[in-house]
Amino acid sequence: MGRYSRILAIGTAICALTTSAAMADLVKIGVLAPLTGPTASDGEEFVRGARLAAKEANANGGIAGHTFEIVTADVVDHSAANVTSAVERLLGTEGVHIILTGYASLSMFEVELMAEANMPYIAAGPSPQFAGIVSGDPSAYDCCWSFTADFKGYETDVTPTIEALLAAGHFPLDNKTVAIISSDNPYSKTISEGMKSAFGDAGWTVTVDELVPFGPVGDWRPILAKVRENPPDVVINTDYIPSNAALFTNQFREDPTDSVVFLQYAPLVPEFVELTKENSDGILYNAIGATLDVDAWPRGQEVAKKYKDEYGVASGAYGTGLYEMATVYFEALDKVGDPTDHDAVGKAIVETKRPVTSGFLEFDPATHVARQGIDHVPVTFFQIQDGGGVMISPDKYKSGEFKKPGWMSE
Amino acid sequence: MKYAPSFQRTNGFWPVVIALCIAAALPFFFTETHIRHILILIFVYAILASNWDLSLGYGGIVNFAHIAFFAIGLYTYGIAAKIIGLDPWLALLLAPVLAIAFAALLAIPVLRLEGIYVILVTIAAAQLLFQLVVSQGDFTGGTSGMVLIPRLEIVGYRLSSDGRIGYYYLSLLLVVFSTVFLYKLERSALGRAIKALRDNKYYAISRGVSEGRIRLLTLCASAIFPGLAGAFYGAYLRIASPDVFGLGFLTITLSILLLGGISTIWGPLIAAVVITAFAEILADYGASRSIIIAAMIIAVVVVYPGGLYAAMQEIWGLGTRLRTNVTAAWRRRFQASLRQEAMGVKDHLVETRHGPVSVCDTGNGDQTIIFVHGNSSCKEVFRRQFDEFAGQYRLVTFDLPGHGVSPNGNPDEDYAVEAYAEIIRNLVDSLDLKTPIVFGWSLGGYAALEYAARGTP
Amino acid sequence: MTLETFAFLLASGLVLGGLYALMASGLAVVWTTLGVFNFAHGAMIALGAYIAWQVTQYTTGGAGFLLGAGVSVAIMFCLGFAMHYVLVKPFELHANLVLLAVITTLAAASIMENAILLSWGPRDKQIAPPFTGNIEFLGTAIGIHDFVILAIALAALLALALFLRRTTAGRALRAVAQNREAAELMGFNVSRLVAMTIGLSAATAALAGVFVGSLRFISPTVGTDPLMKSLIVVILGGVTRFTSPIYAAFIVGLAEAFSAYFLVLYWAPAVLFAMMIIVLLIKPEGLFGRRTRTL
Repeated sequence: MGRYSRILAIGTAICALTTSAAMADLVKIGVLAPLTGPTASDGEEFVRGARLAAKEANANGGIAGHTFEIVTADVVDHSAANVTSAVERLLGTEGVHIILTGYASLSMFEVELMAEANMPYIAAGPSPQFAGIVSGDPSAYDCCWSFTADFKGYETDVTPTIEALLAAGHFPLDNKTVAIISSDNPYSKTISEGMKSAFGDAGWTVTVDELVPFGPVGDWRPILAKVRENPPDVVINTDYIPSNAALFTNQFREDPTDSVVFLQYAPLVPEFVELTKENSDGILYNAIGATLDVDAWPRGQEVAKKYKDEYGVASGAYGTGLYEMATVYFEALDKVGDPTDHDAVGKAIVETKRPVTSGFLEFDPATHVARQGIDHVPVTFFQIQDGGGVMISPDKYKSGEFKKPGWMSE
Repeated sequence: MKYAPSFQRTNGFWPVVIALCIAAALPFFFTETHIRHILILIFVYAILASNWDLSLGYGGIVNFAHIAFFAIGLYTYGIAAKIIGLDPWLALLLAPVLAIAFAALLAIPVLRLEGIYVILVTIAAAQLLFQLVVSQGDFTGGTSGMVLIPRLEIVGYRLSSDGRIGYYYLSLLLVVFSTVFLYKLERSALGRAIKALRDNKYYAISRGVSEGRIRLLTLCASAIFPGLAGAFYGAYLRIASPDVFGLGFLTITLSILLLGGISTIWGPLIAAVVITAFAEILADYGASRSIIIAAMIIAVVVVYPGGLYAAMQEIWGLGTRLRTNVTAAWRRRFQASLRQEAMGVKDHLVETRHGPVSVCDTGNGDQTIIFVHGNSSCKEVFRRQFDEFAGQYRLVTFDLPGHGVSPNGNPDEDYAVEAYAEIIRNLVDSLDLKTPIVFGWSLGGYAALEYAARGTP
Repeated sequence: MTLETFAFLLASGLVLGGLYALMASGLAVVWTTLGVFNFAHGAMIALGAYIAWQVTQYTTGGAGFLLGAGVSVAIMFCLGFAMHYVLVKPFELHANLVLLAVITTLAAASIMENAILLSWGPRDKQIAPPFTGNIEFLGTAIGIHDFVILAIALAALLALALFLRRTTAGRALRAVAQNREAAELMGFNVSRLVAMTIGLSAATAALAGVFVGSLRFISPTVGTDPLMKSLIVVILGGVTRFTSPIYAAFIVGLAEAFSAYFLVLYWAPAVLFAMMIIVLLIKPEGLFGRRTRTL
């Protein structure tokens, strides 16, 4: 209200006076989301997750006397200009006391804007970038918290998991060779570099090491030709764009090698399986922060079911994630009572210790990033079996066993 | 370019002064950072689009790497201030230098090509630069860009403090400097050479304009302020990311330029306000917003290929004509006695091929003298002649169309010496003036000569 | 390099080349006739793909695929025809035609992309390929569908070429492209012919969209990358003749496949853009271009 001109603001203020009794306790939850543009499908999930949480809190009579409403701002293509405009819009909206997002910019630069405005901000964007900004002076960023846990596990955990599968006798490892393909963006590149050293340390040989430019890949066949010349035991592709990963899977299956295939992130996106159909059966992937929709983790099952009941489709990581972020905020607000006291809300968020869909949430005070590990947010490994993701590791949560992919020889 | 009044005398002077005062006072009315942010964005877009006009509109060089100047400014600032550790203000000044250097480099292929090929080669150059920026991740931060770029401070005062007021005035200052620069350049010898090359290349060359040199200078001049604006943008947002190379940024800027009207300095400034404000008002409509804005752009361009500025001028012109017509009619109706006092006879409207004109006619005497007044004058200028010769001759004078109390004519047909001669001819016929002596003063002299030349002495 | 790898790369390059040829020829036809660059070509590819996808939701299998492609081509032809009267005709004789067309086509692209987003949503989709399974090609396995697509693409280009060279209507189009004034003096309805050219271009875009959508996947922004690729192809080949971008398309496709293998895929875009600048500098009319304009 009153964003466009002083006159409008005065006009609405007069109107607001008459209705202030009803409006006073309404807290607006700002959601930064790509509502248009190439990642709009994720954006839709952000908003749905947050909306579900708000609806539920309102139905239960609100938190500390406050009811909630969702306000969205479109970051379109995640460009700096669009993200800044969206952030400024939310900051300038009367009644917004918390901003949530799945991811707004790849570089997380908006953390700086939030800190300047002292606006509580919980994001699930790339945590290394987040930590890079915050760790310089953590006390200046008391309002900003990363729901995404430390990414270190992405780099370190693939090697031991695959070696464990080997030890369990699922497949023979002939000569410990791995082909690693990556895309030139900070997320994929950091992870693939980390994996290379992790595999190297464990005595593996990297047979193919390819970097593709960030963006749509028209044809993976030339790279697959390189992979096939010297069939490795493991093929890894860290390009996270779902359509790229799906094309990679389909083209790999045209003439598969006798290898375990691991893809980063993309199989988590619902349409990946739709696009690859039976081709993706047997693919491995992992996630930090995926919904633990397994018997061993009731919280994950509970939220996943709520989301599915509400919207009729299963949530990816972001729908339930935004739901949980809102829950974290509600808990903090319950302690503080006053949504306008942003300092106190920030301090209350740091004390969060609770189970969420992705594990047990606790923030690291040095980086403001959620802690990663088997007792916090674990790295979970999945295999696609009959069109669905089955968690095969870690043992604490797993819901199924690894099955040898159909393309691999006996 | 023969008649170029100084800026204080053009009718654009007061609107510009008023707009500037409003822009300077705006932050006091809008204290929310959000609106100030939008205003700063408007200024950045205005600089980008109006400087693009220099190469694209005035120079006729369709340079699609214009946004690359901005990107170079942005990354120069980022790398110089953050990685090299240069003082942010020095980095800000270094940015346009590198932008100019890139412009000079870009001139090499551009000089050899024409028309649509210039579009293509500049698109390719911008894409090549983009690939380069993205691949040098150690310096540029790769695809995600570099964050925490040093901010600008004046003796410890952060420009972002107090709701970004410092950045607001810095960007306003940049717009003012950029506009003054463009205005002066357009009216300089170089500006005339740039336009001459666009309008008639071979004639310009034959008159000693060096095509290569001028095109090089055009590109370099158009890079200065975008480079500065890029550095400013980096200091303001504290991020340099490769999305500035994207089609989205280019489309917005180009829309602003074409919607505003090319070959005008003011059009892009106005369109920057219109488009950015429009986009912001529609911000809640998601995909429909882009559709509405795109449809609006098509509509404006189809109806007014000259853009908003042309539309505004047309509307302004209509207003002026309406105002002067009403004034003339009012004077004809209510001030007739004043004029009668001066001239001794009452004036009346006489219909001619070029619309009605107001005529004074003493009515008696065998020999007629017709007096034709000069440019921007009126028939009452001959009141002393009327006093002097009233008894000896039949005296006739009239207001040319759009002059005195005659109604306005049609600009396409009626304001020409030939038309004036025809009016005289019509008057001679309808008032039965036989063979008059025609006295013309200044413009009236030309009209008289034309009348004579048509074989009707 | 084994024969198998070579065959594999060859197949990859040929399929890419076929797609690029289809995309670029539509762009080139408009360029030659009107002298404007159609920035909405990418969005037309996307829209064509979505229309076909919608049809395949009702009728499945090979029949659905064919029907989808047919409906999509027909609708896009009409749309292209209409686009001429909205986007180009109003300022056909304006001095800044090239520039104004840039902005109207960019705006049209934005409208189409966002309309797709509104009607079909943002998630990736695929037009179900009618042929699944692989065939042996010089000892390596390649999807049958890829080869079928390549064959149809070449057939479509051949049909277009025959239409332009052998039929009266096609010759009229070529006449307009070569000398508009003369064509006008000969009594042709130039406006309608130009509209037809844009319609044809839109139809080839639709076909390319259907192919991309079944070989790859479709999303509202699927046209962006093909647009850039077509641009490179058209510049390398030149637009002066209908056939020149087609040769260039195959060169680019094969170069992409083989360079990705021998060099790294990473530098492929940079190399292509650098090549583009060099070609423009040395031979602006394109590698296969001639100085005179014809279709």
